[in-house]
Amino acid sequence: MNRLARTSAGAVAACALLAACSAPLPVPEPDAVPAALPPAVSTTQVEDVLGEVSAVLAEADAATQLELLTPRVTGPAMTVRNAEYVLTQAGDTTAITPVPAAAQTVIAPTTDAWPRTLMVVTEPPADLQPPLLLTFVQNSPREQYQLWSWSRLFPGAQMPATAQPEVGSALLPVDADTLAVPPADVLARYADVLTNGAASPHVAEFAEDPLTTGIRSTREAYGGLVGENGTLAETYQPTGGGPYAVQTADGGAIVVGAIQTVTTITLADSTLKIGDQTAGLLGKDTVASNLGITWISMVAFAVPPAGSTEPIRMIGAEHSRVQVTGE
Amino acid sequence: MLQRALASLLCLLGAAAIGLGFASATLWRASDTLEASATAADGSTLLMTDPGVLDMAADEVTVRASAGSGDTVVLALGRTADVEAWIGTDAHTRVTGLADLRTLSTDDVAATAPEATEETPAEGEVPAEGEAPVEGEAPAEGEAATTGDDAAAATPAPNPSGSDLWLVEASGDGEAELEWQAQDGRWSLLVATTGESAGAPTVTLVWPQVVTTPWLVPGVAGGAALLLAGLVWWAVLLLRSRRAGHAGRTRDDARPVSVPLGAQGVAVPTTAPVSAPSLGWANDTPTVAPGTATTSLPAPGGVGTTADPAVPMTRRQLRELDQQRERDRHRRRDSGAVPQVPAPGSPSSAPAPAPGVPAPVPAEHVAPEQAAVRARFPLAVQGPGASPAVAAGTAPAAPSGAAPTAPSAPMSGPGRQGVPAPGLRSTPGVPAGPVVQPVPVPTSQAPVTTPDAEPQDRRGGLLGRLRRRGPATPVSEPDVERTPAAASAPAVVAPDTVPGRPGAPAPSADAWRRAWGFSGVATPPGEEPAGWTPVEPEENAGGRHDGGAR
Repeated sequence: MNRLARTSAGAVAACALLAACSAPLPVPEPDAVPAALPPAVSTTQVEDVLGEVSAVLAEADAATQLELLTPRVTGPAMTVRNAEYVLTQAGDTTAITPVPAAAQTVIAPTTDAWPRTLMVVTEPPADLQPPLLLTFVQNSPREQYQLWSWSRLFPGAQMPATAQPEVGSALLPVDADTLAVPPADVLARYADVLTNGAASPHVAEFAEDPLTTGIRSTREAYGGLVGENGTLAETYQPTGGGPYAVQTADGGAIVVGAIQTVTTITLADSTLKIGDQTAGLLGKDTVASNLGITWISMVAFAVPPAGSTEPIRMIGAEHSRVQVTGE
Repeated sequence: MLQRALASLLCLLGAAAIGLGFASATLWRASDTLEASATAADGSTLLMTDPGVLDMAADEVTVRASAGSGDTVVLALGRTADVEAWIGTDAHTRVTGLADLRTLSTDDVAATAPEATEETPAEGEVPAEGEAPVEGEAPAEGEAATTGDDAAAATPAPNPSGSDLWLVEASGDGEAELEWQAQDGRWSLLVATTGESAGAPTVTLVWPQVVTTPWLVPGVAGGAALLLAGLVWWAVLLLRSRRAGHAGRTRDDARPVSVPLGAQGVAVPTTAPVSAPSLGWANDTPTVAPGTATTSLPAPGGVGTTADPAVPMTRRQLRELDQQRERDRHRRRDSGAVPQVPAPGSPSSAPAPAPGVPAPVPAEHVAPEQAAVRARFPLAVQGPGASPAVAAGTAPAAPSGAAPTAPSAPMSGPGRQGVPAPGLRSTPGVPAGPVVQPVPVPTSQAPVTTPDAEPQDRRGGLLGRLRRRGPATPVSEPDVERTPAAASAPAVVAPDTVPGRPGAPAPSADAWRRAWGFSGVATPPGEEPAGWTPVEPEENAGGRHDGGAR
């Protein structure tokens, strides 16, 4: 019996051994959802986006066909590019703003929602040319990042420090209250300052910037031209969607937006000879009754965090005539 | 039977384990790749993997996708959140893991309504419709845009290729392949078919895997152990059964071997009839050994009168006895008992010389001799035990020896007294000899010799044996010399060896003893020459005994 028992035990053990042959199936072991969102785009993806946008721009620029831009360009950028193409077709060979494809700084968004904003500081397009701050926007998952705006960085302007692209920077809503001024209000207040000048209650919130100076000087120039023979009015308002805000390292933000400036000139019994670019857009160089000029300013502000006494600095801008009407 | 069955079972299990072990490493050896597939649900052109699925079996994965004829298959890999967002509310199939080693487990997700309304408003200010299908640098812009419009309207899932969301992507006509190295984070694969009537895509994930054969060694080793155990068991069983069978056949023969010699004589029943002879001897005396009788007459004297013992058995009895012994010897040879004989042989000769002392024969010496005697001739040993046996054993011989050795009698005190009377009676002439003369010797021997030569037929067995022991019979040459010596010796030689104790009567006694087989006992065939001489003195002992016992 003892031997029988032993043998039986051995047989059972052998059977068990053989039966245990099946290895467990691998099961998915995903990483946990990180507490802090990762950047929505890797540097590789940013390079891809830049490359594709550059390619699209290059193609469209060469053909000066706006439709070619549609996949990769939108908003103010599209508008400005349109004007540039018009000017180009009118014979202005320098109208098209070159957009470098090489990035020197990437501000990658950390978000899992849309729209997403990607900002890139390019290499200088040419010697002694300021780099551009490009803003790309992806409105929905099935859309691409599209170039929304570009701003020439002002000479000497200091880009606020931002997080490394591997870490990513948070996107701020237009009404974010962590800033000295909410992004949406930044554009509105800036427009108010442009409109009202020193009378604006917000004038103190903004540091002096080349754009404001330029707009005023242009206005004054037109005013001088019109003189007593007509009237000149100019309005300023945010446009083109946005603004888009990306948090900076100090808790502030880079706010990118567009300001539309509309200059309306009414002539009384006189003609006005207009300059090359305006004439190019208009198709003629002389107007007899009125002249309407629409400008788009793609601007970038460095907004300090809430509680800061620092003024809002404009770090870059691109001010372009986009439309001219006149009789 | 149960044991045999179990042993067989053990062997069987062992063989099976070995076979399975080998099979696991060959026939059933896992593939170098783990390959599992899944197909999207009918009506769905989208399929995605859950995070962790891509690297669940290995860090490297090769993704293959296929679709029906003419459909373009797109493989795209991105963050899980991005893939989910891209799919949005469209119907799709999620791969959740492995169902088995060849099948991926899936989970079908139906489309949800709000999708269409959500998408359109997002487009905003741009002519967004054409954008998705155009795919960046895609070849034909205008045309692509138009088809894109159609596709977007017709099918819920546009072509995902070219999206900025993807890190890696691939597409092809009918099938596509993509490789992916695991990275930190949550990643998913999107598989989509595009086209007018795109069907459900099928995806296959292929992971390289290190194939181990964990059951080869244990299987073979364990199997071998089991098999060996079974075989050993079987061998033991077989051996045991064979031994049992053999024992059954040879038990009768074998038993004597194992049984102590001392007990043998007693044990053997065949001796029983012969054991009685002590009585029979007297009766048969006249018939048995006439020759000896004549010779004995002179010697025994007083003792000789009762010399009946000299002729203890009838010929028939002798024959039977002889046959019996012959048989015994054969058996013993067969059984290998023979070797035991020689041992006592040599000692037997040794103790013999001591004859001078009647009883003194040391137990130790006696024992072997006795043992030999018993072995050879159980009859002699029959009743008595150890030392007494010696006396008894020799006793029968003694009278016989005494009788013929009449001549020697003169030498010994007791013998002397007896000698004259009988000697005179039987053979007047002879008596003179008693002193030293060899005369009686020849006579005494003659009977031995002659019968030896002639009656061979009749007592073939016994005599044959004697003759075989060549030296035993005076006839042989060496004997001739010796016998005279021995014969005459009684006076001369014996004294030398044993002063004051003449072993004279030796010749005849010797013959007798031999005739009864005692000598045979003492001297094994091979040692006869050596053993022979020493035997003689023994007769003295016999003589003594006869004097004492009888």
